[in-house]
Amino acid sequence: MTLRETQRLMWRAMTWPTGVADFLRQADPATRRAFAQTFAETPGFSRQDRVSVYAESYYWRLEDVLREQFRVTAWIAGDVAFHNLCTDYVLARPSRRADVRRFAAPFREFVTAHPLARAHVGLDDVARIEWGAVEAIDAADVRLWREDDLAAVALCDWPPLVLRAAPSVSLHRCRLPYAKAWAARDAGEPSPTDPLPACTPPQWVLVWRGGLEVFHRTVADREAEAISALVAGTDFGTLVQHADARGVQAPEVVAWLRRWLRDGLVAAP
Amino acid sequence: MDRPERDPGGISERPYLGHGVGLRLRHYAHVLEHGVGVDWMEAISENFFGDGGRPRAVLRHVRSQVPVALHGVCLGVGSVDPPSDAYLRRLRSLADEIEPAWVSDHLCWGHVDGQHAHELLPLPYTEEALDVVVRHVGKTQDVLGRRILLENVSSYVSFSHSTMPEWEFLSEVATRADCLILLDVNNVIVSAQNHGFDPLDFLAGVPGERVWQLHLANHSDRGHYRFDDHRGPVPDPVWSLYEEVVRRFGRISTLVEWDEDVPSWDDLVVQQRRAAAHERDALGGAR
Repeated sequence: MTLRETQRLMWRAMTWPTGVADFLRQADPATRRAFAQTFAETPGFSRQDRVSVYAESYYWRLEDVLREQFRVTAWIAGDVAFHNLCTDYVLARPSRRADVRRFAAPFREFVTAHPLARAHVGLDDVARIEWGAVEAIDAADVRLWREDDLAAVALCDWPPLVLRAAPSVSLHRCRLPYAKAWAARDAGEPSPTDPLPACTPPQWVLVWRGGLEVFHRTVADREAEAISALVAGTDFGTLVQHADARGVQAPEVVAWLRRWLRDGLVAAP
Repeated sequence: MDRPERDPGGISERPYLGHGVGLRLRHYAHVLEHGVGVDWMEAISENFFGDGGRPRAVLRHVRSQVPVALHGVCLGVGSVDPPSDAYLRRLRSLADEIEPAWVSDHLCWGHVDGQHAHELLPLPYTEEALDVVVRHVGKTQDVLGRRILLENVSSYVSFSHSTMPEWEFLSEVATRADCLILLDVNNVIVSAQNHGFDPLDFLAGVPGERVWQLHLANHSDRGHYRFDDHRGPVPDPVWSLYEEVVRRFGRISTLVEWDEDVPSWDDLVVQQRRAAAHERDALGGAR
C-alpha cells in the first residue's frame, strides 16, 4: 500500500460520521481487508480502537475551536444543538487550511443555511459578529489617529479629510440582542430554554480592538451609517452631508468622530 | 536579545537555553505584567500568524526578555502532499521578526487531498515515507533558511508494513535531511506503552548529538493505552527517563508542556524548577 493510499484510508476511517466501527461495517470487503492489513493491533488494543483514538480527537479538537470562537452563538443555541451544529459543520466543511484558527472562516455562512438558524432567527448574525471579533484579535497593528491628531488639522481642512477605519473594525446587522446575550453568558447564566425573541428593528453591533482588547457595542442606525461611511473611506465633508440629509447636525457627527478617535476606530490617514 | 550561539561547523555543540515553559493564552496577562522569570519559552507558531494585536505583542514582549523557540503543529512533513507555500512564507515571516532560537514541528502527517486533520497522525516507517519526509523537510529548511527540529509524536496506531522502528526512522530523517531532533520524553513513554517497545531502545537508537531540545509533559492512563493529554504535572516515569536522557546525551534545553487545565503561572514554574533539579541530579550535582 502506498503512503497516499495509507493516509487516505486512515482519513476515511477517522472522519467517518458514525465512527470507525461503522466505517468498517459499511465498507466493502476490499476496504476491510486493507484496513486489517494496514493497521497493526495487539490483544488488548484492537486496530479499530486505535484508529478511534484519532477519530474522537479529530472531532473534539475542531468542536473545541468552534466553541472557543463562537461562545455566544453556542450559548444561544444551547449545548446539544450547538454540538450537533459543530458536528454537521465538521462533516460538511473539513478544514482546508493549515492554520486551525481559520477553520471557522466559512462557519457563519454555514449557520445561515443550517436548519438551526430557522429555529433561532438571527443566530447567523451572532456568528458573524463573533467571527468579526476573532479577526479583530490579531488584525494588523496600525498607527491610530487620536483627538490630538484631529485637533492639529485646521477646520478648513476637515471637509476633504479622508478617514480610514482601523483594520479591526467591523459593523454587523443583528436580529438578536447580541450585547444582552453576551452579558448573560458572561455572567454565567444558563442558555435560554426557548429561542431568544428577535429585535425589532434589527440592531447594529460594532466590533473593534482598542489596545489589545476586543470590544463591541450596539450603535444606533444613524451612527451605523456614518461608521459604514468611515469603513468605506468617505471624506469628512461627505459624511457630514449624508448625516445632514438624515437630520443629524454637524456637532453630533463631530461627537461621534471624537468617540471613534478615543476608542481607536480611526487609522492615521 | 542575541540568538544563542550555534556551532558553526555542525551539530555537536548544541545551544543550551536552560529550562523553559510553553507560552499559553492563560499566562499572557501574567507575562505582560510580571515578566517571564524562566530561562526561555516556546510558542506555538500558528497562534502567532496574525498580523498584530495581543498575541504578537505578548510574543514580542517575551522575546525581549528571553530566547523563544517557535513550535509548529500544522506542518505535516509526512503528508504525501507538501506543506503549502503560503504556510511556509507565513512561518518564515514570523521567524524573521521573532528571531527564534530554533523552529520545530512534528514527525507526522496531518493533511491529505487538501483536507487538514489538525492532528499529529503517525507515519508508517517505510522507505517511501522516509523519502517524502526528507523531501518536505528539505523544502521547509530551504524556505526558512535554517535547520528545523522534528519531534517524535505520541502514537496509538502502528502500521503492519513498517520496515524499521520509530527511532531508526527518526534518525534516518535527521541524517538524510540534515535536521535536528526535539525529543519528547513523554511521547517516548506513551508510544512505548502503546506499541510495546522499551523506551531505552528508543534512546539507544537516536543520535544524541542531533537532539537539541527536550519536551516533558504528563499523560493519562486509559486502561489499555496511554493518552498524551498534557494535563497535570510531569509524572515520575517521565522524570526518570528525563534523567536517563541527560546522563546519556548531556544537558539539553528542556521545556515543560501543560496544555489541558492549564495551571497558574506559579504552578507551572514549579515544574520548570523541578526539571532543572532533575537535570542537576542526573549530572551528579546537588539539588
